[in-house]
Formats: sequence, structure tokens, C-alpha cells
Amino acid sequence: MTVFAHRTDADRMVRRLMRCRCVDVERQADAEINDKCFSRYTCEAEAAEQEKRVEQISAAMAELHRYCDKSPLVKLRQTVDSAQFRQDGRYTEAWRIVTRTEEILAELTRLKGEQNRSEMTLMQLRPWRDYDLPLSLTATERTNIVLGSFPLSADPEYLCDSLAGDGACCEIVSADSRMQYAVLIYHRDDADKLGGRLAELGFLRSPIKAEGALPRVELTAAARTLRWLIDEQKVLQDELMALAQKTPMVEILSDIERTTLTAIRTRGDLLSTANCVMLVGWVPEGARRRVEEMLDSFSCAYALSAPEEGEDVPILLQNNRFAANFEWVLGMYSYPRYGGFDPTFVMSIFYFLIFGIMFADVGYGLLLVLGCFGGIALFKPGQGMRRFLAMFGLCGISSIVWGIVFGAYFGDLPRVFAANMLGIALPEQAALWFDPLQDPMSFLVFSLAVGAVHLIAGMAVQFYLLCHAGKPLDALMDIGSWWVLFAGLGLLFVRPKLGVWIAIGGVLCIVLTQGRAKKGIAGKLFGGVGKLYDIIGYISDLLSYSRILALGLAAGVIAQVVNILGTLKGGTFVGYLLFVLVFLIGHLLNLAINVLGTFVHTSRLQYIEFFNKFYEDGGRPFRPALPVEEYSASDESK
Amino acid sequence: MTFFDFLSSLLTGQNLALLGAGRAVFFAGMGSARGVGMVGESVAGLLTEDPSKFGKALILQALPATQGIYGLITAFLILFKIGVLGTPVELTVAQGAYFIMAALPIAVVGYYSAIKQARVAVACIGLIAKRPDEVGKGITSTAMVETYAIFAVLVSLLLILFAQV
Repeated sequence: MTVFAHRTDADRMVRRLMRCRCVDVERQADAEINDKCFSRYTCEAEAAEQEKRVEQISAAMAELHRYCDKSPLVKLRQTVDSAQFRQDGRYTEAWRIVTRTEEILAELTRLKGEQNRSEMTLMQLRPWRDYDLPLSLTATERTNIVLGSFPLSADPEYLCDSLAGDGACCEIVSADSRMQYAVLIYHRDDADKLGGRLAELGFLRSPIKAEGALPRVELTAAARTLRWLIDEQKVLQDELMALAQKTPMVEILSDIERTTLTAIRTRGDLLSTANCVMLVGWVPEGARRRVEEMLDSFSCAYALSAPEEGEDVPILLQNNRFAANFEWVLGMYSYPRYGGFDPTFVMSIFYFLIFGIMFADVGYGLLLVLGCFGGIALFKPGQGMRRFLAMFGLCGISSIVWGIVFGAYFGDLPRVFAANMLGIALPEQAALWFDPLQDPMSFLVFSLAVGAVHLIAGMAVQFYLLCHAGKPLDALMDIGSWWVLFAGLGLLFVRPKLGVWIAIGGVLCIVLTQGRAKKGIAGKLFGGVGKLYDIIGYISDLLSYSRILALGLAAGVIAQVVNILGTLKGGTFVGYLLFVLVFLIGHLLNLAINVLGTFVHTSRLQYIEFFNKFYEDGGRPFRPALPVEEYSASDESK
Repeated sequence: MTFFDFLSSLLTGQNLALLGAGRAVFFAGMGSARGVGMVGESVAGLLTEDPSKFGKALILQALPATQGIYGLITAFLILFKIGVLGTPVELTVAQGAYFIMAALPIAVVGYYSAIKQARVAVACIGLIAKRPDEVGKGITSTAMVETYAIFAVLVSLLLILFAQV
């Protein structure tokens, strides 16, 4: 899409496009600028200005959040119409709160500094409480009066005596755990002589400022100031507390100002002449009508065209409502190349299945379903979070189904609970099919079978893609020949004789066809034999699926341990108390550990075993310019 | 009782099996403790720069913890099997030694893979410091190492589940 519009419309248009949520504005390369008569639409100064505002708000908001008395665990986003927010004065009110918060914070810092200073003065004055000369009196006509301290180790009597011998009158005013404080009065002429003597005795001049009245009076004054300072801070903090009640308004303001910042930055991606701007961006086919309608309301010229060969097109995945929830799992790996095959749907089916088998438990599945879908219903999160939760919720359903098949209800809780707490013996077998812990070999075979289906499905996708690209022969030779080999190996277990021959046929197919790109008969043959070595890769891929068994057993065994520990004390009151405690902690911990493990390893099976059969990645995700909605959800996109 | 009698009284099937259970917990747990610790140190470094990455970092830190859990599971299965939890079973010395062998895979591989996995996780903490969007790839690379711990615990578990006692 390319749009030419009036420069004066640029801001309004970018904002409308952001609200459409379906335009990925492309930053124009500098080379482009030299070519044409455009310059970059510079708005760095504006952006810097706006950044300062955003900074200001977030600093104030951080402080307000500290004073907010209630901080709910998960916050609901507020629904806001930002035009109305501006009109009905809440916008100015929110800004007032921000500036007032800033003022208060500055004032608080100043008061705190003064408080420190006055505490310091108090501390210095305290030893001199009983000194009965004004502090400003530091000398008379003939004498100097000096305040200071001696180390505690010096004997006061010895000090006074020895200083009297040097012609100074020394009086110890007080002593504390560190120093003894003394006042010295001596004749001016003796100052030089005394200086050395005092240094010997460890005398330190007091840092008190030589001003003011009697220490006692000064002390009371300082204490009063200190109290006033503390009160003043309290008043300001109360005001902050009151302001903090209105934090939601500031949160909306933060979203609005940050949206503006995004708009300004997006505008920076545009090219402009003196009167006109050029916007280049990507619009998904489905949103074309909506964008056109919107653009028609401006006086602008626009053209939408299909991407040309070699253009770097951003990728927007489109899937049905089930598979769309799994798109983020694909996003964690890499998006498909433009025009490539989107594997989300195939992957989502296997993801759903394998997650359930690996984490087959009715109880845990139920918790996942309740937690995830409940979270969506209660907190109405944004799209990203909603899909994240929905994915785990769906996988929880799969866990429930497979849990019934394998008879796991929080491990073996029903049986253990009935036996140890109620004294009823339930049958060992709760599974519809078999219990993986009783019959791990069957489960291993089942895991590998699931793996085989998964791998063959991956190859089938490749088969389909090759046919689609008009290379059915390649598909037949590259994939079909392997399938013949696999079919033969599979049949070995059922009809050994037939299996051997089919397997040999498969090997021959591979040897004969896989070297076809090489030159010369010998080259082709060696190429084919070399390709046979890939069988190692297939085997290791297949064995990798044994992790389904290992992780499944891990979840089951830990659940069993929790159940045994929980029912140790039997059906007494203490027993039930212990049971509830162990049940809650143990099973929640097991759930957390195993959801993480199952998620990671199911993803890995997709990324490594499945995707390497066919997937061409390397696409750039479609990132439309969006309004910021951390705290608020706008209802103006309609 | 001579000293030799004393020694031979210790050498029972039960004790040997317990030694096996203990070994699974010791070594796999030691590996996980070292691994989680290593990752934790670098997580702390990351959080001084950007505390908001805690969630992502925590997943990476949790990954090397699984080896310790595998060791625990192995030990518990041995305890189930020899009846420490439940009705006690008489074991011969050879049967006890069997459990020591059964615990060997997860003890050794658990120890080494936890530490090696932690080193990948530490590198991935560096990755999410610079490119937090790529955490998925970091987690996947880290999980690659775990494969071998999974194989080891699988062999240990199968050996124990199929033990003749």
C-alpha cells in the first residue's frame, strides 16, 4: 500500500491507521530518499518532547503505585474512549495529578534533606545540653572559648590539672559512649603553646557552628523544626495517598501519551516533501476494505497492490479459531517464508494430541482448563495473553481425554484415597485402555507409534508441497521410496516374509533414485547408498518420542508419591488436614513442573522432529502499528 | 560377632537397593543443584539490569532442575518396588545389586547433563538480555540437552519396573 497525503493530515491519518490495527508501516530506507525528491519526515524533536512527557508520567506512576493501598494480583484493563477522556476534563485532571505528584516528590526530597540536616544538628548539640554559655560566644576580650572533645581514655582529672598547668581552664561538660566533651577557656596569648599540648591529648574541635543562643534553647528549637519537618512530610504523603486513589486515571493517561509517542515514531518512518507525505505499508488482504474506507475520509491518494517478486513481505498467519491459539508456538520458532506453507494447523493438531498423551491426567487437565479459560473469562486479557492461555486450556482438554484413557485422576488418587482414608478397596485398574505405570512397554510402543505418525505426517506435508510445486516425481522418489522402506520395516513385525521383500524394495528405490542429482552412474549409485545413511536420522527422530513415556511416567510417579504422603495418617481429623495440605502443595507443584516440561518437550518435538521434514521458515512477522494498551482497552476501534 | 560378621550383616539386598535409590537422588540432585545454581547466578546479573525479565529467566533456570526430579522419581520407584513404602519384600544380594545398576544411568547422565544444560541456559540468559523476543529459541536449545537425561531416566525406570522381585 502506498499513500500520498497532505502533510497536515499525517498525524491524524497515522493515528487512525493505528486504530485500524492492520497496517504495518514500513520504514523507508535512506537510499530511497536520495532517489526521489523526498526527505525523511523528521519529528525527532517532537518525539524527544513526547518521550519526556511519557518519562514524567511513568516516574509519577511508579510513585503512585507505591502509595496505592490495594494492589490486586491481576488488574482488569479499563475500557476507555480516549476522545471522551480528553473532553470531560479527565485528561487535564490526570495531568494535574502527574504534575502535582512531581511537585510533592521534589518537596519530599527537599524536606528529607532538611530533616537529615536537623537530625545532624541535634546529634551534635546533645552533649552540650548542660553547657551554660551561648554558642555564639567564642571569645571575650582576652580569652578564647573553645568547645571540643577528648577521647574517653583520658582521665578527666588529669586533663583538667595538666591543662591548668598550661594556663587553660578546662571543664568536662558531658561524656557519652564515644567521647568526653569539654570546654576550654584560655588566654589568647597562650593559644600557640596550647595548640601542641591539646593535639597531644587528642583534642578535637567540635564541628558545631558558633552561632545561636544557649545549647538548651537551640536544642528545643531544633527538635521543634524536626517535628515540623516530619509533620510536613506526613501531610504531603497523605496527599500522595489521596492522589494514588486516582491512579487509574493516570494509567489511562500513560497509555494515551505512549500511543501518541508511537504515532510520532511511526510518522518518522514516512517520507515527506514540503506539503505532502508518503506512507508505505502492508495491509492484509482481509482488511483491505476497512483501510480503504478509512483512507477515503482523508483527501489523499492511495494505491494498494499485491507484493512484487523479491519484496520482503511481513507474514500474518491466518488460521481457524482452534489453530490460531497455537500461532505463538510457531512464532517462538520462526515464521514461515512469504508464500510458504503455514504449518500451524497441522502442528496444532499434533501439539494438542502429544501434549495430552505426555501429560495425561484428568485432574491436572481440569485444573488447566479451569485456570486458563477462567483466567480469560475473568480478566479479559489482550489477544497475546488470551491465545497463550487458550492454548494451554485446549491442551488441558486433551489431557483430560487421555487421562480417562490411561486412568489417571491426580495420579492414582481415587484408589489410594479410598484404600487409605476410607478403607475401601477399589479395583487396581482405572484405565479405559491400559495404565502406563503397570504396562510401560505398551506405552513406549504407543509413544513411538505416535511419533511415527507425526513423522510420516511431516513427510506427507513435504509430499504435498512438492506435488503442489509441480514436482510429483521428486515427491514420489524422495518421500515415497522412504515410505516403502518404512512399510516394509513395519510389516516385519506382522508378516516377516512379505516385510523383508518390501523393505528390500524400499532400499533399492532409495539407492536407485536418491543419487539422481550426481553425475555418472557410479556417482548416482554412491549418492543413493549415502542417502541410505539417513535411516539413522529417522531412527533417532523416532526414538526421541520415547520422551512421551518418560515425561508421562514422571508426572504419574510424582502424583503417586504425593498421594501416598497425603494419606499417610489415614481417615482421622489430622489425616484429613495433612491430606488437604499435601494435596494442595504437592499437586500444584507437580502441575507447575510438568506443564513446563510438557510444554517445552512437545514444542521441541514439533520444532526439531516435525519441522525439519518440510518447514521453510524465515518470514518477518506482521507487526501493525498499534495503540498502547497496557492499562486500558479502547472501545473506539469500531 | 566379628567385624566380618558385622560387615556381612550390612550387605543385605534391601540395603543395596537403598544404595541404588540413594545414588539416583545424590548424583542427579547434585547435578541439578549445581546447574540451577549456575543459572541463578547469571539470572541475578540479568535482573540487576532489567527486573521485568524475571519470568523468562525463571523458565531457563527451571530447566536444569528436571534431572534432580528424574533422580527422585527413580528413587521412589525403587522404594515402591522393594516395599519400603508398602509391604516389605525380601531381596537377595543379587537383586539388591540389580537396583544399584538400574539407578546408574540417571545417576551419571543426570549429573552431567544438568551441568551441561545449565551452561546452555546461562548462555541463553545472555541471549534474553539482548533479545528477549528470542526466548523460545533459547529454551529449545536448552531443552536439547535434556533429551539424554530423559533417555537415561527412561532406561532406569524400565529396568526398575521390570525388576524380578
